[in-house]
Amino acid sequence: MIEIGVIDDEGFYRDVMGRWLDDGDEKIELVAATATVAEYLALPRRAPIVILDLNLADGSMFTTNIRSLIAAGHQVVVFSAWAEHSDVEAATKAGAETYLHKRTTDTATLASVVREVAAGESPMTVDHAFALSRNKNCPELSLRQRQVLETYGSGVTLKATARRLGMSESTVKEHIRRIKAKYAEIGRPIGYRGDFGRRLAEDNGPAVTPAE
Amino acid sequence: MESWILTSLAVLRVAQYAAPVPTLVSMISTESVLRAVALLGGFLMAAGWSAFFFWSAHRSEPAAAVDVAVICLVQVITAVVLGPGWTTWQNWTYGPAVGAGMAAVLYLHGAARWVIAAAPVVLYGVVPLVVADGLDIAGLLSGVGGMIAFITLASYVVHVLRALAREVDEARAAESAAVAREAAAQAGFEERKRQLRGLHDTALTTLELIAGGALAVDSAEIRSRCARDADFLRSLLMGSRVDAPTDLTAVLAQVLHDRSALGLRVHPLFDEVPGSTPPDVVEAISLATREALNNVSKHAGVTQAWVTAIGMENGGVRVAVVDRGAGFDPVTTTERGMMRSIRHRMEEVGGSAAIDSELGEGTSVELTWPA
Repeated sequence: MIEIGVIDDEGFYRDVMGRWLDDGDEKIELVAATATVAEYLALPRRAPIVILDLNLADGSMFTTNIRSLIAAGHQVVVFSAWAEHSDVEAATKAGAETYLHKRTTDTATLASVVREVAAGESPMTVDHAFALSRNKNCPELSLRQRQVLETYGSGVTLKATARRLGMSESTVKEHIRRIKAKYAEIGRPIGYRGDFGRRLAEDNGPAVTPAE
Repeated sequence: MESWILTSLAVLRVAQYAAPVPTLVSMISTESVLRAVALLGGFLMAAGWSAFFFWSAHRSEPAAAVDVAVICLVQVITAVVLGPGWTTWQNWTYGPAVGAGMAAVLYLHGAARWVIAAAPVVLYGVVPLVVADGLDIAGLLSGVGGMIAFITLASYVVHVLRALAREVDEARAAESAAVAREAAAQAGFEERKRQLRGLHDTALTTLELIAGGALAVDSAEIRSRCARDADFLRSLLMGSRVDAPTDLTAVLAQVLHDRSALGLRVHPLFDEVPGSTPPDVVEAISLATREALNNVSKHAGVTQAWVTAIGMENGGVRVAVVDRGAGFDPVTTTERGMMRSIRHRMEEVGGSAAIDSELGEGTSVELTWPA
């Protein structure tokens, strides 16, 4: 069973989310739903995966919200009715797993994103890839990574993206994971030197011992 | 209906001239050559006239008065030729006289037609009184009565048929007028719906976004949205078409909306689409997009698709219609008809089209302008 939490200022979404995701092979259960991040973090029982509305009514910054949740050990999926490419970029930099558009997302997509996150994979929705592919202030992405974003971000399946770019499906997935890591790297403050090696380790890069 | 009446009358007339042929044959064989020639001449003249009468009636008003005059003349000739020795059975003009009477009551107007129609009937009864010696009065009377009955019955039946036909015509006219009015009303309703939809997609959404705090009020984004919405509102006031044919975004949005209404959920991925594109290019791209989406509905077996529209640095545009459905094997599948027409449309306006697919991997159609 996969447990999820929802943070949305609209009661409607807090109510229906659990019912939407109820069916499927592995049950997805909504265990916590609040209107603000502070309320969520104050709960005694929280789910690791959080579906977070981008624009909460309390006026909080969504980047701060994402960072607070990640700092508390959560994985964040952003769910929003409206987002500029720059918002999606900022959310990715803050470390959000992926971004879902409220108007275009169906239950199946939301459920599959949740399952992938729970399985330790690195999902990216079409809307997410499209926004990143159109982002002017992107971090240094390789040509292949740009091509992955452009092709996958037009709705093309993972398999067809791989075939068109002449790479394997797992390479496409790896590119997607690295793209998100690059964004997160830029957004992640490196407070002291010790952080550096740890961040790299988080990225599955080679463990580096900072020089004394 | 009229041509059916005329045809029926013609068929009847053929029978009316065919029936007395045996009578004529027997008379010709027993009478003198001179009489035989006169009888046969009268018959052929009357039959020939009838043929001409029906032939011309298909083109102009039937010459029913002449028809009656001809048969009256033949009645007199026949009586004179046969002379005092004739008998009732020899008068072959009975059938044709009824036919001429019918033509008169069906095709002439006013009370006069009854007078004209009566002429051959009266002649049938009176001529024998003048020329013949031994008379079969009862036979004559029953003959005249029969003629009157036939002609009156024909007049009644045709009158009823014509009244029915007129009713049907009137009902049909009323129906087509109603259909036309309904269509006009529907068009007005559609236009209003389209305008309201336009309002929903533009000004209303912008206001909601501002109200919801999703957009900073003083931003370039909000200013450009407002400018676009203002253009839209102005176009409504000026009564021009909502989807200005040079605005690719609006036209594509309409295409996506239409497809969604038909059960295919289409996700728009639009970015930096040029505000103004030549109308023929907009039309080509929107028709090609429609066709590609139709194809998704028909062949892909899925209920959603993505349409990407991206402006390019050279002022051009790239549109991709993508699905995650069945796909097809490009090696074994010859290019589909839809792809030929999409390519043709794009090439006509200086663009190009490409297709990518593989079994089980969905299909992607890419339109580029300029090529």
